[in-house]
Amino acid sequence: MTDFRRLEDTRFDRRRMLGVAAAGGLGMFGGGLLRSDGTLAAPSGGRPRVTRSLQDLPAGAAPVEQQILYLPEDATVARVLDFYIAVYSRPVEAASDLFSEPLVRLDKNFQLLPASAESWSGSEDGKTWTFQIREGLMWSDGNPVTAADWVASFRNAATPEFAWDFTWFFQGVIANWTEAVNGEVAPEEIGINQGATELELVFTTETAAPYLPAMLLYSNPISAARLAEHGPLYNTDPATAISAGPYILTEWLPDQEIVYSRNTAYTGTAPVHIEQIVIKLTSKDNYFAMYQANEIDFLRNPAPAAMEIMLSDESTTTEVHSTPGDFPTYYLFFDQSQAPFNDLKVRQAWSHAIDRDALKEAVLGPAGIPAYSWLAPGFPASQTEEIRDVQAFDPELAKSLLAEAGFPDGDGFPGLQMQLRAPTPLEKSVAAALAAMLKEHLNIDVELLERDAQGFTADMNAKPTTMQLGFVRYGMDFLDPINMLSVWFAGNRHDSWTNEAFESQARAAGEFIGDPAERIAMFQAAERIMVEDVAAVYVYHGTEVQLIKPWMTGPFKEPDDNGATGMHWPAFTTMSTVPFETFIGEDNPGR
Amino acid sequence: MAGYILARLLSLIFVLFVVSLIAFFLMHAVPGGPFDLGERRLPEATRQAQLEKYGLDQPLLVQYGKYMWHALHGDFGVPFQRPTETVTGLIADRWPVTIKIGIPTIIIGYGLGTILGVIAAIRQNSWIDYLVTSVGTLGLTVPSWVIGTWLILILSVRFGWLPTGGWGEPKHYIMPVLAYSLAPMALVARYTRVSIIETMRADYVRTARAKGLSENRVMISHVARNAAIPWVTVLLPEIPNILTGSIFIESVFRIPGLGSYFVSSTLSRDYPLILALTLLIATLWGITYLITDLLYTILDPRIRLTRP
Repeated sequence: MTDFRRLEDTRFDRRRMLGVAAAGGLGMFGGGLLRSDGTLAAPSGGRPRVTRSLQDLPAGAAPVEQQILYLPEDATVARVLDFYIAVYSRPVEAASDLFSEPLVRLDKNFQLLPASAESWSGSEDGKTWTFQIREGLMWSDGNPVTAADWVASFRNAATPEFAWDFTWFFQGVIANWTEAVNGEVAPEEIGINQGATELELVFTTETAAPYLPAMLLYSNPISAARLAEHGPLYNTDPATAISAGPYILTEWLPDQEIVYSRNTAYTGTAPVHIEQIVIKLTSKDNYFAMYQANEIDFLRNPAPAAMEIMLSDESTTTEVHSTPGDFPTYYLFFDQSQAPFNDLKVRQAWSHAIDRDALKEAVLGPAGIPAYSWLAPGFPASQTEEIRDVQAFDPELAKSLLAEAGFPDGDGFPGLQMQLRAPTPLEKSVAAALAAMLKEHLNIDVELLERDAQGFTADMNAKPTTMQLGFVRYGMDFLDPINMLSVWFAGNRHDSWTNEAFESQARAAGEFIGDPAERIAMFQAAERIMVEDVAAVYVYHGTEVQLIKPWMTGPFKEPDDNGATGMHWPAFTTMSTVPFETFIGEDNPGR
Repeated sequence: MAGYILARLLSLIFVLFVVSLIAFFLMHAVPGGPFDLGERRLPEATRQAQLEKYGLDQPLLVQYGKYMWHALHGDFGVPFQRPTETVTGLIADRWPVTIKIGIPTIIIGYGLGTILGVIAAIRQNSWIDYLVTSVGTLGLTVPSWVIGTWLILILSVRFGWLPTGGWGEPKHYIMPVLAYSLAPMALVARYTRVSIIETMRADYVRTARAKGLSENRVMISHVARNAAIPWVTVLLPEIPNILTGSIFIESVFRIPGLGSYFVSSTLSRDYPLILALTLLIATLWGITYLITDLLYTILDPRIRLTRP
C-alpha cells in the first residue's frame, strides 16, 4: 500500500479555510480537504526520508531487478521533459514531471495533498498565499530544494523571450504575470517571491484566488542553479540532468526510448517501487500490437477495434479500465459572430437535434457518456441532471426552432464544413454520426473536414476566428470550475460567443471566499447561462479507457470513491500519487 | 564527358534553388505555425516572442535569404521538433539508420527481383512465370505497411519470435527488410521479365543466333545488355526513395530513421527541417538521374551525351 498520510488537523481558522477553499467542489470526490462537518483535513507534516530496501516492496511484487515499467509515447511529442520548459512537448501520455515534485498533488479521489509543500495558508483577502516547503528536499547535485527554485522557474516562464507555451495559465491570476509576459515589467516583478525563509514561498494574486493551491498542481520546479549553469534544457541530456523527484533521466535515444531510473538521492515523502521506467517512443498506431506482445504495460484510449478484441476475450476483459481522465467535454462550436449561428434559435435547434443516447449506444461504448452541459459528472459544480433538459434531444422542437429562425426543414441553410482536429478513429465516427443526425433531424448538410492539429488550432484560436463550425474537446487543468468556465471568457478560446452575465457570474464565483457550497452554486448559475445561450452544443464527456497489464499493479487499481479503477489523471507524474502506488507483480513475463 | 558532368552539376544547383524557393513558400502558405499547439490562445506578446526567437517575424523573403545564406555555410538551423539538435546533426544521426535498412532492401529487392524476372522471361508461360507474375502483382498492390502489420501479427503477436519493432540488434532488421523489399522486388521482377522478353524477340538477337553464337553468349552479350537500358531507366531512380526511407516502414517497425521526419516535419511545421529534407531529396534525385544518363553510354555505345 502507499505510504501517504494525511494528518488530521482540527484547528480551523479563516487562513486555513482559504487554504482549502480551492478544494471547493472537491468534497464531491469523497471527502476532499473540507469535510462536510466543517472539520479540516489539513496538509500533513514532514516525514522522514524514504530509504529503499527489498522489504519496501509490497506483497506480490516482483524482485527489484524486475521493477521495470514499459510505457508508450508518441515519438513526435517527446521533445523536452520539464513542464516549465514546454508543456505541450512533454511525454505526458507515458510518464512526465518526475524530476521534481509540485507543491501539491492529487490522489485518485482527486483530493489535494501536500507534496513539496508541507502546508499553505491564504491571507484574509485571498490575494496572498504562503507555502511552507518541506525541509530536507534535495536535488541530486547536492543542492537543497528551496523557494528560489520555484521563483526561478516561474520567472523564467514569464520571460517574454523564453516564450513559454503555457503563459495563459497564470494570466489574470498571478500579480504582474500578464505585464511580465507582455514585456511591460521585468519577470522579477511577478507575484512569486521567497518569503521570510528559504523554505517559504509567497504568491501574490491579482484578485482573490481561492483556487490557487489547486492550480499549483502545475508547480514542478526546475533547479535554479542548473538553469543558471546549463540553461533550460538541462534535463534533456543525462549528462546534465538532475532531479529532486523520484526519478532521473538516465538515457534518451531519440525516436527510440527514454529511460528514467530511480533517483537514489530522492528525499521526498513518497515510496518508490518501480526501479526504472522505459518509455518506448513510437507511433500511436503501434501501441496495441506492442501491448499484445507484452512490450508495453499500459496504453490509453485504444482504438475501437482494439477494444473489441480486448472485450471479446474473457482473459483480457479485466485489463480494460476506465477513468474520468481530465473530465473532457467534446462539443460543437460555432462562429457566432456571423449568420446563421448568431441566431440563438439556430444554435438551440442544433442542440436539440443531437441524440446523445443513440451516440452512446452505437458509437461511444465505454469511451464516453452523453453531455448536456460543460462540466462533466464528478467535476466540481457539475449539474448534469439538473441542466439536462436545456439541450435535451427533441427533434420536433429542433425543427420548429430552425423554422422560426427562417430555415423551415433546413431550406436555405448553408452547407457547412465541420472541422476536426487530427481526429482519432472514435472522434471521426462521432463526427460522422453528428452529421447524420443533423441531416436526419434538420435536413442540414454537413461535410466533415479533417485537419492536422496545428492548422486547426491556429484557425480556432485566430481572433476573429476563421472557423465557422468545429468539433473539439477540452479537458481540465485543475479541479476548480473556474478553470473550465474561463475557457468561455471573452478573448479566450472561443470569443465569438460572449456573455457578460455569464462571465461576471463566473468571475465572481472564482474569487468568492466563503461558504464553498455557495461558491459552487454561483458557478452552477454561470454554467446554466452558458448552456442556455448555447455557447456550444455539448456532445459527450470522454472517459479514458486504459489497457493495463495484470502485472502492472498496485492500489491505483482498486476502485476510487466512484468505483473507477485505473491510472487516474494526471497519471504517472509526481502531480499524482499513482507513480508511488504502482509496482510490477510477480506474474510479469520477465522481460 | 567531364564538361557534360560539370554542366549537369551546375544545372542541379539551379534546380535546387528553384525547389527550395517553391518548398519555402508552399510551407509558409499552409495554415498553422510551428507553435500552434496550445489548447488556448497564447498572449500576443508570447506569440510574438516565439516568432522572434526563430526569426519567423521577418518578411518571408528575408527569412528565405537568411536560411539559404546559412545553408550555404552548412548551417540548416535547429529543428523545431528537436530543440536540442541541429538539422544537420539530426540528418547525420538518422540517415545512416535509414540507409542500413535501405541497402539490404536494395540488395534483396533488386537482386532477387532480377533473378526472378530473368527466370520468368526464359521460362515464359511456365508455372514459374505465372508464380513470379502473381507474386509481383501482390507486391505492387499490397502496401508495405499492410505487409508489415501482417508480419507483426504473425511473427510477434502470435508466435512471439521477433519483437514488434525497435532498433539496435540484427533481429530488428528481419521484418522491416522483408516488408520493404517486396515492392521493389516485384517491380524489378516485372520490368526485368518484360525487357528480356522484348529483347529476346529483337532482330539483332535473331541475327546473333543465326550466326551460330551459343545461347549463353546471346543472352549475356546481346539480350542482357540491351534489356538493361529500360531497367536502368525505370528502376535506378527508385533507389533514392529507398535510401531516404519509408514513413510507413519506419513507423510500423519503430526504426529511428529519417523517413518519419518527411511527414512529421510537415505536420509540425518544422520549417528548417522541411527545407533541408526537400533539398536532400532533390540532390539525390538529381545525382541519380545523372548516374542513369552516364550508365546509358556504357550500356549502349550509340548513345552520346554531348554533341559530336
